[in-house]
Amino acid sequence: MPSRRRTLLKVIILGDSGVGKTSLMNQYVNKKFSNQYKATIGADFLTKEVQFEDRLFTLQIWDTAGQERFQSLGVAFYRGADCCVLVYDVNSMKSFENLNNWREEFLIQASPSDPENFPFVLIGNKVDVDGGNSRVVSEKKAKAWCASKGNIPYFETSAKEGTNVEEAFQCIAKNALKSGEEEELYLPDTIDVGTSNQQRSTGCEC
Amino acid sequence: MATSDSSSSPSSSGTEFADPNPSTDPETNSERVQSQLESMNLSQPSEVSDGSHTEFSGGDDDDNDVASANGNEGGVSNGGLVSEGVAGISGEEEIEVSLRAENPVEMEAGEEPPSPTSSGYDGERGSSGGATSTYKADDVSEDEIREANVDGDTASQHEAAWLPGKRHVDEDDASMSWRKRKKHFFILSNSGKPIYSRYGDEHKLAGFSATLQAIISFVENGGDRVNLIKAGKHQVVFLVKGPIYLVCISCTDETYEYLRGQLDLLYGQMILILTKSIDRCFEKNAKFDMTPLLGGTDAVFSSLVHSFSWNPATFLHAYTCLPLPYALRQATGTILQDVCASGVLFSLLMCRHKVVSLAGAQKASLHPDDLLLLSNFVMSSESFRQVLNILSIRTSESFSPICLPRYNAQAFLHAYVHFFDDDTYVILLTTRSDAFHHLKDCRVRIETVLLKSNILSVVQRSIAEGGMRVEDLPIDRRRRSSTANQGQDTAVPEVSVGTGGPCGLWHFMYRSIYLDQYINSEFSPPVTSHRQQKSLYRAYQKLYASMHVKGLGPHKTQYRRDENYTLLCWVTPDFELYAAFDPLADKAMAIKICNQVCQRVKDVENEVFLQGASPFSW
Amino acid sequence: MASSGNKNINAKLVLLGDVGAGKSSLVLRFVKDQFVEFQESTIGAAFFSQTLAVNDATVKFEIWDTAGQERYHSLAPMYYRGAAAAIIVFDITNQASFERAKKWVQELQAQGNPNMVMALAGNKADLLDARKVSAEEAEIYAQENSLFFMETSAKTATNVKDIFYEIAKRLPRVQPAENPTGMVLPNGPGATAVSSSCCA
Repeated sequence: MPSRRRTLLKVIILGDSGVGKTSLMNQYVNKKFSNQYKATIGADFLTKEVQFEDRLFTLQIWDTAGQERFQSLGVAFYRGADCCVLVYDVNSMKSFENLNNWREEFLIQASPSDPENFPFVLIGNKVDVDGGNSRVVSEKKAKAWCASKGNIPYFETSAKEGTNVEEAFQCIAKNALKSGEEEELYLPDTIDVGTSNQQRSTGCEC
Repeated sequence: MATSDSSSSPSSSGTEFADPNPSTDPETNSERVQSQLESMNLSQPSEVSDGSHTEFSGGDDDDNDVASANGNEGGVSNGGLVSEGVAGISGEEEIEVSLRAENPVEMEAGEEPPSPTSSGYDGERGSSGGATSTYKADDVSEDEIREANVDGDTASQHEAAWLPGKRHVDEDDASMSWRKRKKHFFILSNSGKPIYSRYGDEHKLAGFSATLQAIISFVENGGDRVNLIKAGKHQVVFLVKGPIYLVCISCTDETYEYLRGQLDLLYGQMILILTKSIDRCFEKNAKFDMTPLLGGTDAVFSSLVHSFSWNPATFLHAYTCLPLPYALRQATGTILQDVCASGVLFSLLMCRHKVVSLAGAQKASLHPDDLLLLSNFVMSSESFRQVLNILSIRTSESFSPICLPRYNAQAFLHAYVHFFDDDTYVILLTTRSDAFHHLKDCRVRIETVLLKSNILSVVQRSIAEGGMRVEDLPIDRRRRSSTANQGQDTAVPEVSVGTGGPCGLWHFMYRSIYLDQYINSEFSPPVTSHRQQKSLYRAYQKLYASMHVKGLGPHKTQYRRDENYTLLCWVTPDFELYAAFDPLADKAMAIKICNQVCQRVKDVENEVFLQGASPFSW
Repeated sequence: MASSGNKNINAKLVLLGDVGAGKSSLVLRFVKDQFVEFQESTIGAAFFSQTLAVNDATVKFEIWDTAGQERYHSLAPMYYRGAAAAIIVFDITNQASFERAKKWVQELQAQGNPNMVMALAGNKADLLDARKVSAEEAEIYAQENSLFFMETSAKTATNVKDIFYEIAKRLPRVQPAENPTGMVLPNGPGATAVSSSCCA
């Protein structure tokens, strides 16, 4: 008997190359294959199951390459995304500054129905590097940015130590629950007698 | 080693039809897709040993055969395939990537589109409401035994080895067993979200599903559309239907056209259940997760996929009738026509997947593909039958929305379904959602006719005794010695009684073009096991494909001999004949036998065909 | 609608509820007194009829056992249109099915026949150890919404007949049959109803 509904969420990971998206994923998803094809086709694809409250979520994670040459694939890659995770390196100001671009580009290409409320999550990675001494983006600064963009949830992580990664993804599931109380989308037609058009197809014989 | 010969036009040699067409940027695209496939880590089946032509692998049932290990284990490694001694995707292996430059339109003009999955509920699997995620073995074997007893027909023995519903729901793309499956089917949305997978849990395959979408998108982004990728022994066939992507990954050596046709039917099955209204769901919301809508339909899809290996209707696009005395067929035809005249769109009296009779309202026509999908749906949905135990009265009546994709893919009709016995059922289709009681009355009228003429037991007898048999063909086995002969006995390779028909005729299939119907001979030794039957149908399908190659003009006859069969195929504007003989059969005799088969079919056509029922004139 | 005459009542009754709540099992138990552990998922709707004698009448139920699958949600009106009674079924071991049941109640109250007799069935009452929905909670909900509530078990047959009896007792006795239950008969063979199009 169905006890828990399962939900599939498409999650896009964006951010400059080098911020550690991939090791973040490695940490989080117990991967069996190494990622060979991000360089060629523009993304790695991962599946991760998460439980939140009494619901099961399957996260379909699109770990995208940061490179420009795959930019035109954005529309196809981002289509139908339920959440977008932005990652930056707390030791790189540039990677933080580029977040605006990433976010905007995503919203343009994904064109969600409600851009103001599209669920983002921000991750500041590599907090452990050099004992925290090479950090250039402060937590305060990051949180201010988050607040200015509609109160995006913020997590600081260290892929090496695996801190907070799980929490970040739990948050994704939680937000998904909020944003998607499904209206009844599936409303099939039935033929009405008297007004029916008998569209008969001349089906091709294969 | 195969020799082939054609008496009037060149025949193709039956190799795959995947001409690599250069894409706009061949190198880059091929390489990228190649590495994509490497990472998908498809396992190659082991090499088939010579001489055992029916041995595709060690398994016993159908395409669920897992390639036998043979000491070669596809290894999981850092990318690419590692299968020792087996051709894999590596630097050495060439990959033919067929990127057919097409206008990237979503649907071909005027075309209307020709699904068993876990729903959103993790506790629900297939059509079993039980807590277990797989079919209980006991239930299934009971079904198998019952079926074998009921008909004893060797042709139906395939049922015994096949388990309905989805299996292996614990598998995902990391499972060795999953990667070794010979034929996968996937349905996903244009956002990459999985909708259906033949093997494994769709949700667990989310990453794999995304990969497929990426490949499709990648190629589309380059202004092209991917139809087929060949990688070693695998073919990856793609079909895009609006927001729905269908993919088949197969190393079964079937033709591209047939695989694509199978995807078309798979899509059609989905439309039968949901209609094309689902397109609107994706338009409204690209995030739409369609999987829950297919809840409880695992058995329908797995049954359809299974039928690709035994039902020639899936490539002939015609239907077949249960052989019956002409008078009985007339009687049933008449009552069905009366029923249609009273306001019913289509009336169908079926026995399993064969037609007893059918009728349609004026100007309504039923495409054989729709019939195939409809009967598959009804037969595979146990709930229609509600056969519980011996004591129960069969009061099963269902009233369900059903869409006929070729008739009108946009909207539902309503179907009244009632089983008279385990195998015989009636489907009455209407456009009116309030017509149930009328249809119930129609069923009673039909039942009266059936009972009066004792048709149900005639039908059961026909199932049991079967239709045409090669052994029964009234054909003179002896070669007449002609005066030109030396007087010696010509050494005709006579097959002894019990192993085929005259001159080594093992099986034939006759298709009436005008009637959109076909008739098979029953299977008899030596073609007895399911695997042999499947193998023969595969051979027929290849023959069919080679005769109907677009652009190469209609061929007329083909004669082909290999170590398995001698095959003969004859195509005319009125009919097609496919015949299989012993590999050592004499060619001239075979041709003669074929002529006589055609004559025989004509002689019994009133019993084996539904006359006056071509789809466009009822 | 229930039509009466000489205390013979025909009543269209529809079962609604989440997948796996036990609708088909309840019907099976009521109509054939049987139970199957792994009941197949219903496709569309299955139709049964069963007659019950109550004190003052004979009630013939025309039972529509609808599929709980999501894809049939929007088509449900086809089955509950003109129904005299409805049983909304949930599984007491499954909170989500109770929530779904409430949605069905709301829908029926909004769209269904205003005189419909509605029953709430908390099924699988034999699985007490796995209970997630308390009887009190369901009872309160029922009272607030003018339904009556019973816990049933198709497996043990607990309360199955009773729930149908209770419905039978509550059906209006003197109710002229305004609209027959969905019978649309043509005038005779060969005559077709209204339509100008060719198919019907």
